[in-house]
Amino acid sequence: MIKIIRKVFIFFWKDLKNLFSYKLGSVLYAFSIFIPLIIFYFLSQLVGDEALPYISKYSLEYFPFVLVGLAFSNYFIFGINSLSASIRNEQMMGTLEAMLSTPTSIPTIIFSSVIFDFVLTSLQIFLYILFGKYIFNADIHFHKIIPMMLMLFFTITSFGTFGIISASFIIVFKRGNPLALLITQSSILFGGVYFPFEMLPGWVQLFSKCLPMTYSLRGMRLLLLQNAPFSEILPDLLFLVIFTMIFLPISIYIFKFSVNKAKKDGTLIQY
Amino acid sequence: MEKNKVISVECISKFYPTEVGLMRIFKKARLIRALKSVSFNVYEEEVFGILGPNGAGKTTLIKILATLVLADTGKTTMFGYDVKQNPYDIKNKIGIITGDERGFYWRLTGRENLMFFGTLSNLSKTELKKKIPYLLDFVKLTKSKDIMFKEYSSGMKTRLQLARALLTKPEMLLLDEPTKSLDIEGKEKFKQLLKEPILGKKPTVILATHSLEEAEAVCDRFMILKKGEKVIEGDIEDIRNFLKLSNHITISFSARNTDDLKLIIKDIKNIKSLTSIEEKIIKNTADLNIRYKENPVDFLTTLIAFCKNVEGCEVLSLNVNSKDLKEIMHLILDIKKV
Repeated sequence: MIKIIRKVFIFFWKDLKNLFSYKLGSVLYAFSIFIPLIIFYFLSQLVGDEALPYISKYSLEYFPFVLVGLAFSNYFIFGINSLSASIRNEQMMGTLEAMLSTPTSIPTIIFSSVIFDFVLTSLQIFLYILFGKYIFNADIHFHKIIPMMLMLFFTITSFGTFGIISASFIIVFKRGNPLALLITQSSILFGGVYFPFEMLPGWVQLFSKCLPMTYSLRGMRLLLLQNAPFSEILPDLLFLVIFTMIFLPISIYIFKFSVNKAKKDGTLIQY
Repeated sequence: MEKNKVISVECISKFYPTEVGLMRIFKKARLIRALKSVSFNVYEEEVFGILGPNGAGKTTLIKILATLVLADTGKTTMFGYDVKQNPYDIKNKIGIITGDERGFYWRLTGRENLMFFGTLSNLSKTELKKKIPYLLDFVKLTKSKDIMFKEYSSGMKTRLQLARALLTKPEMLLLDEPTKSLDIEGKEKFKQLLKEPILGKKPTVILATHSLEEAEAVCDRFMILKKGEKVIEGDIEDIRNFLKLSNHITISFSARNTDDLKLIIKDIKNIKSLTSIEEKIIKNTADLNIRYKENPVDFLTTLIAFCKNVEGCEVLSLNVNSKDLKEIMHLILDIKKV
C-alpha cells in the first residue's frame, strides 16, 4: 500500500513540476479559471428574473444555478477526457512503454496518471464555489458535508466510467475519440449544465434521465443551493450508485480487453 | 560448471494486423508475419546477440521478452516465469533500453527522471538516494544531472537509459538497437560500459542489433533472424562449422623452374586441412587459390615452410581471408534457409 501511495505521489510531483516548468502557461491557466465566472455573472444580470420560473426549484437567481452546473460539469469533462488524454500524451512521449516496463500495475499507472488533473479540477471547482459565494455573493450553503461528499464521490465514479471506456477507445483506435465528444456534448446539452433539463421537450427529457450528469447536478444544486435534506437527494444518489455499480466493472473489463488487444496487436505504445 | 538457463523460448510466432485504428471496423486486417516458430535459450551472464536486417523481427522479440507484446503461439519463460502469466515477476528482474530517444519526461532533469522511474520500480527513497548518484557517475552524467532532459545530447539520452535500466540491479538487460543514434565515439563508450561489471554484478544481456561490429565486439553467442525466422544460432565457430565454411588464401610465388613450382604445389596438396586448390602456372610463377579449414596462422606457417624448402622460391604476394561475422551474415541471408 505504501508503495502505491509513493507512486501516486511521484506522479503528482512529476505533473506539478511539469506544470510549473511552463511559468507563463501556469499564470494564464490561473487567470482562465475565472473568465467563465465573470461571463456568467454578467449574463445572469442580463437574464434577471426571467429565468426564475424554470429554476425556482433550485435557486432564485440564475448565477448560483449556472455556477454549480459549470463547476461540476468540470468533473465530467475531467472524468471523460483526463484518462484518455493522459494515455495519449504518454504514448506520444514514449513514456508509456517505459512505465509499462516497470513492475507497476496498469491500474496504478492509470489511476496515478490522472490524480494531478483530479486535484487541479477539484481546486478549480472549490475556487469557483468560493469566489461565487464570497465575491459574487451567490447564495451557496456548505452545511451538508457528508451528503455532498457522497454525491461527489459517486459523481466522479460514474463520470469516470465514461473516461475509462474513452481511454479504451484511444488504446485500440489511437486517433480521435468520437465517444468522448458525443457523450460530453450530449451531457452538457441535455444534463442541465446551463439550463434545467425540465425545459427540454418531454421526449428529450427521457434521454436526459439516462445521463448521470442530470442526477449529479440536481443533487448538488439541491444540497448547495437549497440546503436540502439527505432524503431529497437520495434518489439522485442512488441512481449514481447503481450507475457506478453497473458501468464501472463493465468499463474496467473493456479497458483490460483493450490493453490485451493492443498487446496482441503490438500497438500498445503506438500513437 | 554449466550455467543456468534464464530464457527459454519455444516455437513462438507473432503476426501483426496491417490495419489498426478505426479502419479495422470496416476492413478485414491482413496479417504480417513478424516471427515464425522461433526457439532459443539464453544462459546466465551470457551476452546474446539477436542479429538481422530491418524487419527481421528483432524488436518484436525484445518486446515479447519485456512482456510488452504477447506472442500468438508458443511459450516463453524467463527465470522460470511465463511471460504471459507472470509479467510483473519478470519486470522485477529486467532492465530495458531502446534506441528511442523518447521515453523520458523532457521537462524533468536526468536525476528527476531517475527518481520517477525508480519509484515505479519499487525502489525506496533511501535506495534511490544511494543508487542515483552512483549510476549517474557510472554513465558519466553527474555534471548534467540537474539539466532538463530536453537539453541532453543523443549520447547522454542513451546513457541515461542505461542508468534507468540499471536502477533495479537487473538480472537481465534487454537492449534494442541501443546505439543507433550514437556517433562512433558514443558507440565505443557504450560498448565499454557494457563490459564493465555493474553494481558488482554481470547481468545477462540480450542485444538486438543490425550492427555486426557491435555484436562481434560484445556478444558471446548470436542468433540470426531473417523475415521472422531463425536462420542460425551459436557462436562464430559454431556458425562457421555449421556452414562448413573454409578460410581462403591466395598466394603467388616464383621458383627457378616449373618443376620446382610443381614440387611445392604437390606438398601443399598433401596438407590435410586443405579443401580445394586452384592453380595457374605461367612460366616460373604460380598463382594459387586455396581453401582450407584450419587456423590461418598454422596453415600459413606450413605453406611458407614448403616454399622455403625449395631453393630460389620467392613469395610474391599473399592474401589471407578469414570470414568474419559480417561475411557470414551476408552469406546466411543470401541462403533462403540453412
